[in-house]
Amino acid sequence: MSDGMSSGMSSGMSSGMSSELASEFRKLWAGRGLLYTVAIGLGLIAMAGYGTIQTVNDQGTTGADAAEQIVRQGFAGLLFATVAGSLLVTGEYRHRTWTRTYLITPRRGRVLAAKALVAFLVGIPVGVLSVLTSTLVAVLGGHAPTYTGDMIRLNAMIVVISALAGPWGVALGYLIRNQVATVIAIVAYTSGIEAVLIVAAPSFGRFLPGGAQLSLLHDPELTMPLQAWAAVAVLLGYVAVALVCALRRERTAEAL
Amino acid sequence: MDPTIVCKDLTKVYGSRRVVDEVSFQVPAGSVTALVGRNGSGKSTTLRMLLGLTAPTAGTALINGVPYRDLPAPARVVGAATTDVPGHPALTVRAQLRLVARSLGMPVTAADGVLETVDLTDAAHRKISALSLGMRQRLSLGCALIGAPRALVLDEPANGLDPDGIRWLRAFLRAFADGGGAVLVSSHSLDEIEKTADDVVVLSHRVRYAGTVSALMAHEHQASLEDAFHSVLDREAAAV
Repeated sequence: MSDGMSSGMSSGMSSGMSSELASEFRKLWAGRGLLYTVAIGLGLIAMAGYGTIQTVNDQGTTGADAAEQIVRQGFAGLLFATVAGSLLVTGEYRHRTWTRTYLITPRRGRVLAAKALVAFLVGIPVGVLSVLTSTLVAVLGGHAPTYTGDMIRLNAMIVVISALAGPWGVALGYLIRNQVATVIAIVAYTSGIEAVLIVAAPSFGRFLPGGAQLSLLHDPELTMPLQAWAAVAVLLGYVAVALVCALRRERTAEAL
Repeated sequence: MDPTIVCKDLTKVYGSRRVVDEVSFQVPAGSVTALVGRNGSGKSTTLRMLLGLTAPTAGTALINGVPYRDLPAPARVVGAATTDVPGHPALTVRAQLRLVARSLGMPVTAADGVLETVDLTDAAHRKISALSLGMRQRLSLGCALIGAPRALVLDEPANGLDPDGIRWLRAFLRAFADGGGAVLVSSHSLDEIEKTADDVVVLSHRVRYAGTVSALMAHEHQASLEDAFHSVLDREAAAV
């Protein structure tokens, strides 16, 4: 009955992972949770974009600065990529389907790796849709972006952050388990607690996931940003540690 | 021939409760072995440890000499059906079976074949959330059969089945074993077990009897498995 992390994770990333990935994709599409999550997310990004248009117009900001502020609202997509990742795990607890999952793939590290990879892959289109939504709002608001180096970088970083948010959500799902509690925790932490910490203690806050994300976006609100490589390392570190903690807990847990 | 399933000194302790206590038994190929016991006697926990769903506190559970979790493609070796939900409630019966088939590297046509075997063809388009208990049992069994395994581990498979379904299940398990397969099944229906099983393991946290059904009835001087079962457990209760 051994399922050491090394055997679970390493074998998980090796032979025949495609069937687990296909299975996880199918399960994610089975309910409407992903669809609702993305639809709500894009709606909120559009609203935030329109709100930003009002702000930049009131401030008289124009040109690249205005477009950048509006397009940056696509950053909120990470919240919904995190929730989407968590659904991959909390759905199993909610519907009590872990038994069937583990009967087919009993190595829990392999299942976790498949879920994390699927969440990463889902995070990419969520990020792309988020950027497209905020860009569309900018265009409709008369602040069409010009694709200079900074704008391209902003677009790319939103997608990268969204992709990394997926596995983060998977880990949180394993650790919290209850679907509603996980979603509330993600929203409360990401848009509340963490935002306050970053403003109140920027030297500490920049090492939080949100601080690293704002560093990648060159957000002017972050007074002490990390360098890009350090920000990516911080994000990868959080994801890796959270996934290892999740696996340590899950490997001996009862399959429900 | 080596037995297909071997449990040796299998033990599970939850806090101060010793739910399964040094349980040992074997299931040879070509036979139906029934795990019987009262509610809370440790039947499901024993099966879950065998299937890698619950970590044992001590002891080993092997299938073809290997723990379930270490089998390269376990669901193609052992078909398992538990009392848990057979799949995502939003999936249809056919989609769930195809999902399992793909997961096992089997063609999706295997799912359609199993639909007929478990008599769910007419319900193929129905969502799992809309199935009756008996239909869920059939779907669980279908999921277990897709990998064309040579062993079956079934937890209370007759629960919720109608009389036709029970008769079908009895004939199916008998044919499976007669074809060389190994079947381990837990059940409360002792009449059914008497008609279907070759061997029986009477469980009350510990193994109280393990051997053939006929030998148990002869040993207890009883005409039915039900009476023999109560004789064993009542004697144990009196001793305590």
